[in-house]
Parts: sequence; structure tokens; C-alpha cells
Amino acid sequence: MTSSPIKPNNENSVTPVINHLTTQWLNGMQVPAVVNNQKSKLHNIKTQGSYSIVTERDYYRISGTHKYDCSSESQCIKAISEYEQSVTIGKIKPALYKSIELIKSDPVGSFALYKQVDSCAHAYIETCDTCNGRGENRCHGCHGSGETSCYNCSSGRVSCNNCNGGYVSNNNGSSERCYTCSGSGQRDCNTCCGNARVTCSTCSGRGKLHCSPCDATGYFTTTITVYARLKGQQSCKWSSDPAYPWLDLYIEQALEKKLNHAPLNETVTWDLTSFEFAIDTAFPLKTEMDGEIKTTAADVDIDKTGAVNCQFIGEIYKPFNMSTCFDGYLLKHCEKLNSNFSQQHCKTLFATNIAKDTFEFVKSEELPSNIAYKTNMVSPQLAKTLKETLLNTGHVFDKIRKKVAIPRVLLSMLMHLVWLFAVITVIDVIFTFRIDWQSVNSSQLLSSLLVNVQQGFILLFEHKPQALVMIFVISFIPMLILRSWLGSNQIWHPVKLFIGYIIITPIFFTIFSTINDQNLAPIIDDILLTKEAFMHSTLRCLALLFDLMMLAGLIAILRVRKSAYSKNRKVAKKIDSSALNRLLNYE
Amino acid sequence: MLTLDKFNTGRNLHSTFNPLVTAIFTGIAYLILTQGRSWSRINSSWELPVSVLLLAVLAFSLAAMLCGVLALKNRFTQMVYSIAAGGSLVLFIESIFRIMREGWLLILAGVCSSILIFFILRKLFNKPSIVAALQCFLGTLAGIVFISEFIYFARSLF
Repeated sequence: MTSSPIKPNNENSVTPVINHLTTQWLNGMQVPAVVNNQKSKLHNIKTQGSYSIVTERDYYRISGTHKYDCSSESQCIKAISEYEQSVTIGKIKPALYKSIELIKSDPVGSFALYKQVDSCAHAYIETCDTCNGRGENRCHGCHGSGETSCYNCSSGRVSCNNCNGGYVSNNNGSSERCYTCSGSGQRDCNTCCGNARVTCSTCSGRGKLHCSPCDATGYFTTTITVYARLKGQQSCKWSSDPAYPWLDLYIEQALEKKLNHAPLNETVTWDLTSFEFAIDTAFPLKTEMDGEIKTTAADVDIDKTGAVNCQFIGEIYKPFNMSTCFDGYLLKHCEKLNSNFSQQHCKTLFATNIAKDTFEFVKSEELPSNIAYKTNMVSPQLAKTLKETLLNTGHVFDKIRKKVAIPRVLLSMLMHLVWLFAVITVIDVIFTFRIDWQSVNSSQLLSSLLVNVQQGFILLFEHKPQALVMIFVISFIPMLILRSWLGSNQIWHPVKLFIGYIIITPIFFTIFSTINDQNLAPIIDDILLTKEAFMHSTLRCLALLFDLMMLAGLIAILRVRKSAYSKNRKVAKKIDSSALNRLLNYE
Repeated sequence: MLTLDKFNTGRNLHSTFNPLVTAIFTGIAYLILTQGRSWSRINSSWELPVSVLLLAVLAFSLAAMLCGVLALKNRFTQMVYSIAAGGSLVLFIESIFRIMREGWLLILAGVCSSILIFFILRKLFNKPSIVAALQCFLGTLAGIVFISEFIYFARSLF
């Protein structure tokens, strides 16, 4: 077994493979990759196939007497065992020839073969244990007698229903002997005709019942079938090369089927003309075949982050060990994003498949089981950095979301104060200055609120929840509207929705009950839409100025928060990263 | 605040309160509320232990109901929870609107039309939030009724 070096040219360069890997895993990024010092070598390799027969028994039992070839179970087992012994050593010629045919038809594919090549069946007759071959069993209702005790009487006699103790009373008050029972007071039972026994209803008097397990046949036919399956196994012989020490590691791992992305038989070029049977007269069959395996090593430099030696296997350059070649490039992007957030930069990095897969394990130390990690394109340290970058970006968004600009709040507060004041003034004019605004100021409302909450608890303790339920039903839609108007993040989150519902409902109820207590109704005729009326109302409403300012301030803060949240959400949506949107609860 | 729940594949409240558990506990709570007091008085010597047991199960069901309000996230669980909570409220709604037992056809029609409206709304707005709102609404109402019944039950027993 000799090895031969190969000079690289344009056709057998690994550059297209590197480009394909960057397109696949760093999709959306312009990744300049330079490949230098590519060295390839062909190594001779010899494979040996070992094929044996694996047997498997199958039992099948049906009622009745059918075709059989053994007189007893032991004879059947003996015949089956003899067949198993014969077929596993190759004495059964059809199985041997069929196996050889199968291997010859696909020498490479046969290494992973597990296919049925022969089968054998023997049958014997078994007596039914329940009826001992009779096909019927003694009736359990009458224990085989065909009769059971009469259910209507105990000894074949019943009380006479024509008399009382053997005598009947006449119309004149005297009594005379009963003709029906001849004065005995008892007569024969009609059901059993005085015999005290009746025909068994379970077996209709037969005393026997059909045996159900064997369908009244008394016997079973048991068939034992043995399936002989051909199973292949592969081993290899090769010479270690000090220049390519990882070749040994690759072949060992490939033979253990640990490298699904680069199976051995896809990377080795087998010489089918060299295929021959070492043993073809008995199992285990042995085959041999020669082949060549190409190893390639090249220095890969991604975006001038430093060249690393990458290892490829086979003619189609399957990556084996990429020596964390993407680490430097991705690390650079992560650091850039962490130090100075940019929307476009974030979108590009988060859209890469390597980032997407890694983000799914942000909560744990686990790594995705994809080819990028299996072939060491990126290291576990970089995975950690990527996860940290996601969290950092989340914190950046969270910080922006919570940031409230004071000038904006003040401006918003002023606007809300103006419209609130205008509304209050108009209401005052509509109700012709009859509203007692002092009773709806914040301190009064607060004390009313406490009283109402106390009343609510009393209703709950006194088993009168109807009123409470009605209040909650009425306030649900207004609560949703208020929440949609003022709420920012996670408006529909069950916890927040529930807490908001519980808090807002008593406030609503208190405001409406306080206004309702004043028994107000607009009087159309009395409404004065004059300048003086509005001036008068304005002066009256000044009593509520402090409360309105507080309310306007609260509304302004919530509205500015909502605005910041909406902007933030739009930016997150533009980045189009599912992981980031989930992290910020925008998805 | 960042949310890492959606990356988690482990055990959470949603897996604890799956649709079946929710339905079972709501059913048990409903039966105790309607039949519990008569069950607890079947035999005077068993009165106290049976009452305590029923009270414990009712308290657990109540906790399950309220936890449902707070924690259900899966849409299917939310729907089952809402139906269970709504079902528990049927008798109560009956008493509020003075619908007689014979008026079950009216209740059935109401339930069917509610489901229809719900699906139309969901189709129109295509938002899972409608289910969340329904869950919150029915859960809160059922919670109020259950708390009231629980207090009444406990007070009548001891």
C-alpha cells in the first residue's frame, strides 16, 4: 500500500468548497476567502467485508388441524435448530448462493446489508389445554348434569294458591277441604312439574359447552418460521501517513458510523475490478477490495483573520476538520455589533444559518448538531460569544424601549392636559354647571375606591358574587380599549391582562358610581353655548387642574412609552430575526 | 425585560396545566360546588374527613383555575380552559338571567353563536390575542365565583 501526492490545479482546488460552505453557513455575508498551500495525497486502502447470517424466529398459532410436518413441539424445535445451524454456516446452498449474488450485485452497498435471503417453516399439532382435545367442556352452569335446581321452588312443591292451609271458607262461614291440593295446602310446582329440577339454560340440557379457545376443534396448529437474513460488516486496512495523522482518526470514526456527513464509502474511490471473495463456500463470507482515499489539507484565510489549516477528505473534498476557520470572522462581527449597534449589521449577522442555529440554544451550554459544529467550522467559545451577542442586542433594544425622553413627556403632557380640560369644560356646560367637581377629585375618588373594594370583598364573603361578576363583565371591553391605547409591551400577556383587569375594573366602577350618585341628566333647553358660559365653566373646572395635570402626566408617560415601544418593535421586525423577536417578546 | 421562555424546551406551567388536567380539575370543582355539601353529610362519622378532603380538592382546583389565568400560553390549552371555565359558569349565568333549566336550547344556541363569533373574529383579525382575552375574561369570572363558593362552602362546613 503506497501513497502518492497530487499537485493542485484549478479543477481540484478546495476554493469552491469553501465558497459553498460560506454561502451555506454565513449566508448573506460577503466573505472573502483565500486558499493557500493546498496539498492533496492519495492513500491506498483495502477493505474487507464480512457477511454472516442472522436468524429470527416467528411463532404463529391458529385453532384447528392444518398442514403440519412435525409430530411434536420438540421435534419441530429440533428441526428449526438444525436449520438455523445449517444456514448460519452455509450448508443451505440456496441461501449461500443468494447471498453471494446479492454481494456481487453491489459490493460497496452490501457492507450495510441486512436482508432476508432464506426462510424455513415447520408446524406441529398441539392439543388444547382447556378441553384436552375434546373440543367441548363441562357446562359450568349445571356441572355436566344438564339440569339445575328449579328457580321457582325448593322441593318440587309450592303453596296452594286456592286455599289457606288446605281449607277454603264457604259463604256460610264454615270451611271445607280444598279440592285442588286435597287438603295438603301444597301443590306440584308448574315450572319443574314437581321434579325440583329444570333443564340448564346455559347448555340447553347438553351438559357440555363448546371450547372457545380452540373453536371447538380441540387442537391448535403452531407454525414456527425462521427468517435467515444476510448482515454485512466492513473493516479496513491502510497505512498511516505521518504527514496526514488525521486520516487514521477519520477512517476509525467513519467505520463507527459517526460521520454522517462524510461516510467512508462516499469518500473512498473503490476499484471494483479488484473485488474478490476470500471465502465464498461458507459463512461468514469474506470479500476484499482495493481503493484510494484522497486527503487534502489547505490553509484557509477568511477575510484576513488569519490562515488556518483545514482538512478535507475524498475526491469531492468533504470537510473533516475546518480548524475553526469562521471563528475570527464571526468574532469580528460580534465585537463590532456589541461595541456599536447597527441595524443593518445586526440583520446580516443574525440572518446567518450558523447564528440562527446557535441562538436556539441560548439558554444552555449545548451546541447545535449541525455540520458546521461537527466539522469544527466554529468553536464552542464562538457559540458562547454568539449567544452573548444575542442577549446584548436584546438588552440594547430593551434599554431603548424603556428610555423616556423628558421633553417629549412634557409636550405630550401639555397636549393631554389641554384636551382633558376641554372635555371637562364641555361636560360642565352640557350639564349646566350642576356637576360638583369637588366630589370627583383624586382624594375623594381614592377614598371611594377603598370603600368599593371593601364592599367587593364583603360581597365575596357573603356569597353574593352576582354583582361583582356583572361589574367585571361590563368593564371588560372598556378595559381592553384602555389597555390597547396606553399599554406598551405584551398587551395580551395573560398575567398582565389579568392584573390590569383586576386593577382597572374597581377604578372604572368608582368613577361611574361617583358621577351616577349626582343624578345628572343633560337638560337640552338650559344649555348655553355662549362665550360667558364656557368662561364660567373654565373657572369652575380650574378646581380640578391639579388632578388633571397628574392624569395628563400619567397618560403622557404611558403614551410616550408606547410610542418608544412601537418604534422599537418596528426596528426589531426589520431585522427579521425570529430569535431576537422571541427574546423581546415581539413574536 | 427579555424573555427566554420561548427558547426553553423543558418543563413549564403550560406542561403542568395541559388541557386534560385543566378540564378534569374544573370538572371536579364544579361537581363539588353543586354536590359537595350533600356528599359530605352521607355519614355523620365521616363528615369531617370527607369535608376536609373535598375542601382540599376544591382549593387545589381553585389554584388550578387561577394559575390557568396567569400561565396558559398554548392556544389549544387556552381554548379548553376557556370552555371549561365557561361551562362552570353556566349555572351561575342561568341564575343571573333567570333562564330555566328547560331553556337549555337557548343556552346551547348561545354557546354555538359565541363559538361562531369567536372563530369569525379570529379569522378577521388573525390574532391569538383574542383567545388570551377570552381566557382572561372567563378565568376571572370563574375565579370570582369559585372563590365565593369556596368561602361559602368552608363556612357552612365548619
